[in-house]
Amino acid sequence: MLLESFFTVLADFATSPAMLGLVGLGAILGLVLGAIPGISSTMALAILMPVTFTMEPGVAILFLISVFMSSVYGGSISAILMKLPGTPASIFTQIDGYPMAQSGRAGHALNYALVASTVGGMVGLALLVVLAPVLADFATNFRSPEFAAVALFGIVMLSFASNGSTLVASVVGFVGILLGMVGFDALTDAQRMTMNQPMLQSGLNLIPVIIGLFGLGEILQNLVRFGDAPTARPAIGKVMLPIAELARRWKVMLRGSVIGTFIGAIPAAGSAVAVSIAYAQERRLSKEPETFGTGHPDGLVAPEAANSASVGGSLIPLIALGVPGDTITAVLMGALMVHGLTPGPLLFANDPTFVSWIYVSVLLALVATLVLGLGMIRAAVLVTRIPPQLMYVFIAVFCVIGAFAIRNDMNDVYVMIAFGVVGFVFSRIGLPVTPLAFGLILGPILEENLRRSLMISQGSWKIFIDRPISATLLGVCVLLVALPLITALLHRLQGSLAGKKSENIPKNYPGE
Amino acid sequence: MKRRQLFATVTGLMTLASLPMTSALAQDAYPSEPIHITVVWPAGGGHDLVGRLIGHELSEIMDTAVVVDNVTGAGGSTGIRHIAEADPDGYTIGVMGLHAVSQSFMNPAAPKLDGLDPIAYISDEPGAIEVSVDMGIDTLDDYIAAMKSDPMSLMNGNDPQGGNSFIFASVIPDALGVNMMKLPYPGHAPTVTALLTGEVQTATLPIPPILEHAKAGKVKVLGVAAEQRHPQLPDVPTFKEQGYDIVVNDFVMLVAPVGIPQDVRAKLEEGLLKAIKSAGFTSAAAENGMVLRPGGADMAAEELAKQVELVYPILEQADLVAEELKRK
Repeated sequence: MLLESFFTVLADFATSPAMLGLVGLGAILGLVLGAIPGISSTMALAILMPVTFTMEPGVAILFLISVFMSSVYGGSISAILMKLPGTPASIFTQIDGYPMAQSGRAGHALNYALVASTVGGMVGLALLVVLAPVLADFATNFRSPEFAAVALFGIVMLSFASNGSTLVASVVGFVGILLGMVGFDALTDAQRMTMNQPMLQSGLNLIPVIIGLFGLGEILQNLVRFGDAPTARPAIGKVMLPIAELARRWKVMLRGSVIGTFIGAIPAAGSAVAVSIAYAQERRLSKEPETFGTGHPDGLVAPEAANSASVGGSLIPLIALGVPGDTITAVLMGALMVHGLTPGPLLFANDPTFVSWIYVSVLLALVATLVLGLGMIRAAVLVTRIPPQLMYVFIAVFCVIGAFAIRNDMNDVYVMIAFGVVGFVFSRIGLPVTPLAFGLILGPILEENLRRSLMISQGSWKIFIDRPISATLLGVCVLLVALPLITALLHRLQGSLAGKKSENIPKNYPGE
Repeated sequence: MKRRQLFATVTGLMTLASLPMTSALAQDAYPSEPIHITVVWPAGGGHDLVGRLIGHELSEIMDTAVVVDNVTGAGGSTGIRHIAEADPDGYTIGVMGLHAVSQSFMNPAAPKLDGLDPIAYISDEPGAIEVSVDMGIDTLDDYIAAMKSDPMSLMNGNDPQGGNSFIFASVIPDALGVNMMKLPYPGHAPTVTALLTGEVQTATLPIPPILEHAKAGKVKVLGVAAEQRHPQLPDVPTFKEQGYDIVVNDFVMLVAPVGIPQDVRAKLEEGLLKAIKSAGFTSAAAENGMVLRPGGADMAAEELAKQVELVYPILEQADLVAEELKRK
């Protein structure tokens, strides 16, 4: 019945020029708003919500979902071209996307991001349509202990997410976790590390920190090299990417998509967690992990696919339970309420047409984003032709605007500048900054849920082992940590057995 | 050449002449600029919805653009400070609730309430207690009996200290004579999720976030802490009807910085009241589960004073009032 109404609605929408026009308009607005640093998908929706007040509910949903889906990819444009993530979910896109653009492969990077984003979105949608009831069940089994376990899992993965020493990465990640504690405690509203200063009470918001670490940090680096000959503008290179290149990465896209959908389906986990785990996972599995961060397409493709797939995932709790999966779906829910539709178990159970509306809107929005996004790439790469001196000024201005706009708070600008200096110092002395971002994302989730779990269990740590999902996740964490030790031990044993062959210990990284 | 000079002189003079005129005009005809409504919570929440709906109506009534600014962080204090420190010209107002009262006592860095000028009252948000239907508890008496036999059997989901559902979770069990295990969640949406997934068995949320779930039969509302029954849930008795004298509520009002010129303030109050009473806002707000009780500046100030007297003792008893903010 659902499939039937899905196709009816699809036929209705896809043959109506007015509807297609609206999808196109929504996609363009989403691409542009998403590409502006500091305007997150959430804000793009909130800004455009009043426009839909006079529309019919179905039309309004179509428009808003178009904006939403395209802003997810839009955020990657500024991340790749300017090293400024437009949305929290594109944090990991710039790690490999920006180096690609700098080496004259901006068009390729945008292509990878767009296609991965589309594939991720499609996989997320397909899983949403087919598996919604199963995934909803899975999602409801996620409670505080499981959230804590997922966060811990992410933190363990952290050690695989950056080049160089695992120990250094862990220490930097730990600093990130500590920084995440600044501000109001999520469980008691008590202040921590704030010294009663309004500036610190706001906490260290992720976006200003990231913009500072990566965007401003990069500019400061270039200022230091000011005396040198001006950096050459990167060549535009070939804009379009051979399909075969893309198709070769189907596994990476699929892995990212599945991770994105599942993590997106967990209420409140959000796309930032999905992309960080997808990135770390891909780097861990890669045969050439040391090239991650220098412009490896896989490092771009995996988080992009996860990012879009998490949209489909985050709609699952909304449709199955009537609770929003993340802040973006919460805004979408608010928009529905304005139209007198309150998403909840009743609406979806009683009105399959309405659910079909949402599914069809996601599908059309993905197609529109792909078509318009491909059209825009040629124009977008021209950004890289701007002389570097001018470009850095633009980026600096955008850093300030982006940091301010996220909460309309001047304090966030100061935070951004401070972290710009941190990013600069870190790269001067050779410390990785990615684990800092990891810690800042996952630390608060781990802490909040760990403490709440212990409140529920009245202090007993057994709660984490008694529950199957959290026990499994913790088991995987232990394996991840222990595996390198065990293999190293085995190699040593082998080595001593084989006597002199010990010099030929297989290296962990073939690329070394 | 001469003609061009003449042209330039004339345009220059006209610009000069028009400058004082426009500013005089601006003073006469409030509003001549966009009005900014500050919402201290992120986009997507209840206050955000109120800000955007009111903004939509107000822009038509006052014939000017209305912009919603989400100034968030620090438990709402950043946004409240933004309102209190704005120019008192009638172009910055904000949506405020109980949280600002709590923060003004808990957080020495939060703005004091006397820096805010209540302009219009929108709604009461009565407290309530909800239980997941899986528990098989149908009445308030069943709940009390269950809690008396084992206080740990039903855990309650609520805000961190100072939020409205935390205040409700302090007042309601006290009056019912039971001990409640309170589990904090950062906001209403995660609390609803916890109630639906079964991590907590009860919640003390106000009605709007759980209205649809109550209608769907997933959640049972055992009592409403108001004088009258909730308009959207006419079958749910009040606590008073069930023999417990509990009336406790959050509120939603619109505030401005202190010191707005009298005539501007009067126009603003009139426009806001019209927006609150408009058909568009009334129906959307009612469907969303808000209990509208529109009122002007005087009523808003009176209600705020009442809330201060309600909240202070609760926070003091829980030892949450900051040392330097304690009443002597």
